[in-house]
Amino acid sequence: MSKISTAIEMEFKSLRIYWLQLLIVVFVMPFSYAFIILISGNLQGASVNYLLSGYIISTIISTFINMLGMRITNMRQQEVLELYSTYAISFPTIVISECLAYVLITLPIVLIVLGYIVATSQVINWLLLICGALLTIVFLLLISVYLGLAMKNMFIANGLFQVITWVLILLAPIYYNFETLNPVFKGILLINPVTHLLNMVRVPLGFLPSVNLAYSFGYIVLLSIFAFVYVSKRINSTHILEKIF
Amino acid sequence: MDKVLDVVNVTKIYPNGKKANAGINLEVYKGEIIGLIGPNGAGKTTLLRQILGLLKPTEGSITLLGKDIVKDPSIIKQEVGFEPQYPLYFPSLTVEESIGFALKFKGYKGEPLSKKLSQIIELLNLGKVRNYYGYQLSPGLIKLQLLGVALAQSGSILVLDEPTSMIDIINKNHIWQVLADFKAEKSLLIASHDMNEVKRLCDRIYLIVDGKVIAEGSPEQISGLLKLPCKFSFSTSDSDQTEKLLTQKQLEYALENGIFDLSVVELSLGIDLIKEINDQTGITYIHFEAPSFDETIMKLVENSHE
Repeated sequence: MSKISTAIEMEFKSLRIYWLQLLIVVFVMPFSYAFIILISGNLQGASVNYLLSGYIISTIISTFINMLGMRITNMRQQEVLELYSTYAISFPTIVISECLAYVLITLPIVLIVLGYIVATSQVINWLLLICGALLTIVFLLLISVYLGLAMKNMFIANGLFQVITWVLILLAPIYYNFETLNPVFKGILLINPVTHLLNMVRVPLGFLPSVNLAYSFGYIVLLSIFAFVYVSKRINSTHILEKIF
Repeated sequence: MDKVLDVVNVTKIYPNGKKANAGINLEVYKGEIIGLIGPNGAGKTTLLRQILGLLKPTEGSITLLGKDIVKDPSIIKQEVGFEPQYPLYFPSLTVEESIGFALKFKGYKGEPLSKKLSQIIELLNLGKVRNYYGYQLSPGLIKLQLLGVALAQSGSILVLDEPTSMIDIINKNHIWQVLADFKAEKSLLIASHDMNEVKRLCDRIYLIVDGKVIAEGSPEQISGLLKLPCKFSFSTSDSDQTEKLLTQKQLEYALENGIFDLSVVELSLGIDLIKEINDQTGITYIHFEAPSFDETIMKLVENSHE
């Protein structure tokens, strides 16, 4: 545990030089979007919460895939692996520390927005909400680590991760209503795991389910298991990439 | 002597078919400083990366303190302090933090951490830059920082890839003394292009060319592998007189900027000639190494290509 906490400390201090970028990407931009949603005069309370719950998920997706995923791809580059090899910390421990560091980075915005939603919601199923939120975070961490380990070429990853984030967010009812879509679009959206993440977070807050909640939990757990198996196999056998193109 | 590192028949073939290491055998015993030398692209860094677990050998085995590093990779993190070839750094971490984190990962805390950290910083003359961030350091200072991390991290062996490249001559000599002093507690494996460094520090040297070890031994043993002419350079207080003497003896020589270069077949002939020249005209400068380690290495490399 002490190695993990030391590695988290090291990661935060390493991000010092990028403080302005972090401030904008993780605090200023997300808070400004949340603020715009809140002051939008035409929305009712429940609609605001619907949008804010989607907004939390999109913030976590964006931060984890674009920042954590890229960080892990970057760590597999020769120079970075060599630099970390000078320290008494294994690659799996570094990855776990990175995951925890990025959870901590997104925590303020998530807690503040979630706090607002909970305070203004009429109905809350706490057990389902906590399970849904935790599974959402674990799933998105696994997917980000999976992408980071799968993507050898950092230059392609830089663009590809943004495309993946864009597709995941666009094809999910984050800012629009699932019920108003035609069956074809609904079918497409149900393939996207983000639709199910939204379901797991919104249903405990009293919103109507897009699909049976048990189906959403099952789908996400299954995908998480696949991602976990892949990550477990790759994470212990990380060597300097011998061929990135 | 206890064996610290044992590399047995290690071969490394990259996906593009290049054989970077071919059947390399290498041993490092406790209290030894071992040198790895060879031309660029010989496979020295590839071998070091396999020892560190950063590359997987295609064939062969590597054991550290008797443990196979593939089956038990944690032994690498416990025992090996590594300094990479390139000046790698974390831009946002200060010198103190970079070395401090190495000590923290080893379990140091509180007072022992501060004491050890100060010890390493002072040992490497990094006191003036201890609060400088990585991006503010010159490449030479980054290499010193990396050496500090290696010293903080190491257990029984230091693996150093060109430890004094980019470092000024004063610090270089100081580092050589520091490394020589460490022999008592640790073994060292040094890859280097600096012949003075390996001659001064190393007990044994492995010469790697095209992925293979083509010569092995102490600097003196390697110097004696080939019978080469003795080359020496000197200047005298009367170049004209010296030229007459050399012409009389029918010796071929080169004279440039007042410095004579010539070679003789036997060491004893060279010594007699120097005495005679000194008696006649007085030698003001001389560089004489026989047998020449550098010349022997160059010749061995040339011969291996033929």
